[in-house]
Amino acid sequence: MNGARQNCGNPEHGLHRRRFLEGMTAGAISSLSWAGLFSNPAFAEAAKKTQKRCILLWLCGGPSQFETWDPKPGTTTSGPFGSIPTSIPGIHFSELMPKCASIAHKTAVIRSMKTSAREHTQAINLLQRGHSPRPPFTRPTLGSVLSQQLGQLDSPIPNFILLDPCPEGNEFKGFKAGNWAGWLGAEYSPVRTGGEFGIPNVDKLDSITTDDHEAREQLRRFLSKKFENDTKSKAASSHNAVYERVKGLMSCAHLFDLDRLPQKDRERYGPGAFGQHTLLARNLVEEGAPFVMVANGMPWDCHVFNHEIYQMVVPDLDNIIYQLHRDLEDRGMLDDTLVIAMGEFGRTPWLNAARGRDHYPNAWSLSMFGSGIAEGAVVGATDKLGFDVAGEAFNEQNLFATIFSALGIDPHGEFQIPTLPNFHYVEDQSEPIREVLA
Amino acid sequence: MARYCCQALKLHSINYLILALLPLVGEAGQFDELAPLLKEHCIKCHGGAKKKGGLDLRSLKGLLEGGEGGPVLVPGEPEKSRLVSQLHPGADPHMPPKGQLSQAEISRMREWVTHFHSQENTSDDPIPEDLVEILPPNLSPDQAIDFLLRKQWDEQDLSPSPSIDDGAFLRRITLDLLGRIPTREERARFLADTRPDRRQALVDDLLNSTAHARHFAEIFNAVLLGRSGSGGAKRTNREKHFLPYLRWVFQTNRPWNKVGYDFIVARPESPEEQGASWFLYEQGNDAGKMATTTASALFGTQLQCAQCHDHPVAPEIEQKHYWGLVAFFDRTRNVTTSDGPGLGERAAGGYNKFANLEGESSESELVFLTGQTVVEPEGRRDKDDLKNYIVSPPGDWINPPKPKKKGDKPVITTKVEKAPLPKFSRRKELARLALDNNPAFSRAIVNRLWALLIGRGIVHPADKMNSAHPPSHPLLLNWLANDFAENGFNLRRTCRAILNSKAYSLSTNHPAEIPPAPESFARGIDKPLPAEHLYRSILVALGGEAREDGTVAQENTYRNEFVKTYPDIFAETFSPSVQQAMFAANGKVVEKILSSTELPLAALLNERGDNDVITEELFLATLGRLPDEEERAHTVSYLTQRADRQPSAIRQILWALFNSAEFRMNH
Repeated sequence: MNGARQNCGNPEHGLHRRRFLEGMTAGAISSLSWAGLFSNPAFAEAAKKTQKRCILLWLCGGPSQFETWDPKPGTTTSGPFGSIPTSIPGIHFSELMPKCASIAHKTAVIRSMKTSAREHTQAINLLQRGHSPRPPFTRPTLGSVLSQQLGQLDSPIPNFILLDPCPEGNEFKGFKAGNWAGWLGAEYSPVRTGGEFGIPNVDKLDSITTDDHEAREQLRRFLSKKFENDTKSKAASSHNAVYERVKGLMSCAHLFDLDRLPQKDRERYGPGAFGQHTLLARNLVEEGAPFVMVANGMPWDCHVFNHEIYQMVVPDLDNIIYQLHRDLEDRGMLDDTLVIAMGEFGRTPWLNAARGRDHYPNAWSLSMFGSGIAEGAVVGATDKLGFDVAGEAFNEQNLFATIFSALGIDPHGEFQIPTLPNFHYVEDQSEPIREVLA
Repeated sequence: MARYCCQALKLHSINYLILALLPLVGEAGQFDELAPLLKEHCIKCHGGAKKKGGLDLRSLKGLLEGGEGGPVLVPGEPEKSRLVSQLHPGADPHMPPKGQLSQAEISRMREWVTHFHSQENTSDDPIPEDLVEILPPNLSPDQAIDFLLRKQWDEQDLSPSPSIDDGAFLRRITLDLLGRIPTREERARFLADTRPDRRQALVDDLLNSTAHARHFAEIFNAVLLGRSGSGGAKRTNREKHFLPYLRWVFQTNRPWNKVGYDFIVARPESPEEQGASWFLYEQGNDAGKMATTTASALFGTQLQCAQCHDHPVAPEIEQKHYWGLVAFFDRTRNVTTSDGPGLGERAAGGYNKFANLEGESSESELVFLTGQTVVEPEGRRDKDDLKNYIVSPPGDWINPPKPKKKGDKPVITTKVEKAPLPKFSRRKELARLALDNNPAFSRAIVNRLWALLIGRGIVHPADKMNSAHPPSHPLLLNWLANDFAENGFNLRRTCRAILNSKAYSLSTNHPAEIPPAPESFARGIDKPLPAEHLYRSILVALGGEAREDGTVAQENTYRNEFVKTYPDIFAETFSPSVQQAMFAANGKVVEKILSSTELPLAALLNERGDNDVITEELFLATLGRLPDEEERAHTVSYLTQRADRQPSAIRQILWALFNSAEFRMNH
């Protein structure tokens, strides 16, 4: 385990043409001027050399912008925490985020998010899918689309990994049980692991020795391949192909094992599950996973004792983002890896009777860095008290257009599903947030 | 009403296209030959959802009518036909706006227009009125099937694959009719049968068995209403009401038109019929769900998209048909009667307005999919009145209490002695139009039976029967449907005909280098075992006791684990998942079944000393055949190398056999 880019053991790993490229070829036919970027052969060639990846730090419940990226010190909405200067002159973060403040010039912050969904279920769907619902169709989540666009056709590592140890999580629990992949189909659903949630049946049974396990698989393969060859059966061929993938995934099972990660790294990310899983996510994208989502139930939903709880959770997040940025930078992976830290909305400028902040989609913040993102961009602002966005506001469609653009995917590309109406990765020709793109 | 998907369709479309190779267009100029090209490139804008420029390319009629700018087709003159001229690179206007057809495709289009003669080709229906003219006299139903298939093979210059042997036949039909592989005893008995008509006798025995009724009930439960999920009220209620009804249907061979009537009208006259009410009851008072479930279950077609617009590719399915079918169910209310769940009906209300994508509003009518309409005898009735009922409803149906919150539906009594029935019942009217005299009703079920037994529908997929999915063998489909209806909507007769046909016994293994396509039915089609088949077959292979009632004595809750893992039942395409393979390969459930002491096979074999004998027994038990030399050598050597741990070695070989493609398929 000491090689920095250890391979899965499958010699084919990394050699497959990316689905990404298929998406690009299709996009090239589009005559939209904006999409012209993607028909540029030089760009396509450059993209071929790299695999884009994405880590989503999913701050479910909705983190407060006031205690993170958009403090309002000295005002009635501030709360007890002050603000500190960042490495960008004139820009301040909450005093709970000193580490992020020190790397502000390398990351980007959007302070002018304005969305419409006020309740968790609707807002989670909105920010996971990038569009309001249109029954009877179910739009796939960001992770499903990216796993299709960035993933390898038959990668041993799952193309969409969800790390979430929490079996509960109120409305998020319901969302997790639902349909992630929508019209893309179940193969683009996440493989969920983390905490007690292992990938079911990925490990060899204890009751069989490694030698026997491999021997019986060889016998199975022999019998099954023979049937396939004798009968020229396509169904048998699909069946056998899946067992080859099982072998691949089993060979990768160790990548999901936190205990195999260096103790020093584990200490840096802190003891919490969110930190440990972020470290695991770093490791997985390093090994070729195109999309990893880190979550931990719905801890950011502080309707009570906002300040006491944020005093604990924000510094933890501050450190996790800092460590992740540092590791990706050290490994030269920032150019290819997009990191997004966001929830489904922000919190109210006012406190409720329980000294908590309630849901607030009208003006909230998030942070991004890495692939395709301008370093040090601080986009948008809110008014003096943080009640509303001052100037141009951005919604979930702008955000998704930004994410796709940052990863080299034409956001206005069309889902190639013959039985559907014309659906696009982002509808309505919504513009990306240009100031945040590199 | 919800119009969400319409918004999506209004969006500007970027039609970039992935160009696929298409079969060559023949000389005849039949519309069917052009349809795939149009469907792929044109119909998103010139079809049911959008008719840009007033042009509808879903049918020959629409193509001939042209659009607002005049005709698009000049027969015999491709360059004068905008259908062709606007496809060339640089054409202005150019079609499709955001794509370019390949030269090969344009040539095919040109070729088609060149050979098209409007006079000869305006008939959409190539099926002769009277099949009797084609079929030789005195053919049995199975012979008729083979005759009609053979006719098409000859036309296409195909020869069918050889027939399978008795052992393979027994495995195939036992899986199809009982949902498990045959036991050792069943195999021995059948192979010892020397009667020339032993296969026909087996078909009859199995079709008449209780085990078969139970199995088909299980399959049709999932096919008609979808999987119920692994727990909860839905599952319990299906087991309590719907499954016993279906078992009775298949046990007594209830005529399928009566089954349709039981579902739609839901006025049970005997305790056995009671469970049919669950079909609509499960839809929870949602007339839209009742309409789409009925369309799918009884007519093999999907109506959902017609909620907001005419069907994008099938011109015969219009928005008014969806709303028409909804209207038939819109007065229906779930009630609890003294006999169980029931379906009441009001005598008033149930009028809807719906709007198309352009925002034009229409009033829904009682119109069925065939276009037939029903007029209410005394005109529109908005106010309920007791005098309009045969079975009276509770008083609050007539004068509903005010709802607590504005916009809520009033809470009315649902506990009744007998389900309320109006003098004019919309559901009865629907049953009158939709069943006995509607060929689509018969076509849907015979196509489904064909798909279940042969592995693919004559219309494929079997639940998308519309003009966009033409039958591969239209004569055969019509003949089956006619024969079915003329003989009292007799399910068993049609099953027997299919099972006795030569077509059913064709090997999946065709000698040709490139085997004929599955839709030719010139060879057998691999059918992946649904969850229940897979589970029971593993138990039977391990020596489980197959009971007469269709269960296996050693069955337990593991069955639910299989159903959860393999929810597909006769899926459109076989797409196995890694999760399924890991469940079978590494899962504790399969491991526990393999080491269960209730299943005697492994223990029996441990007592046999000879590895050759053990190997033969293992192959017979799982695959129903002896190993060939190569398989024998590998397996014997596997056992020999593990002589110190023979019981584990036997389980490992069983594992390898269960996880092989051969066991996974009904072939």
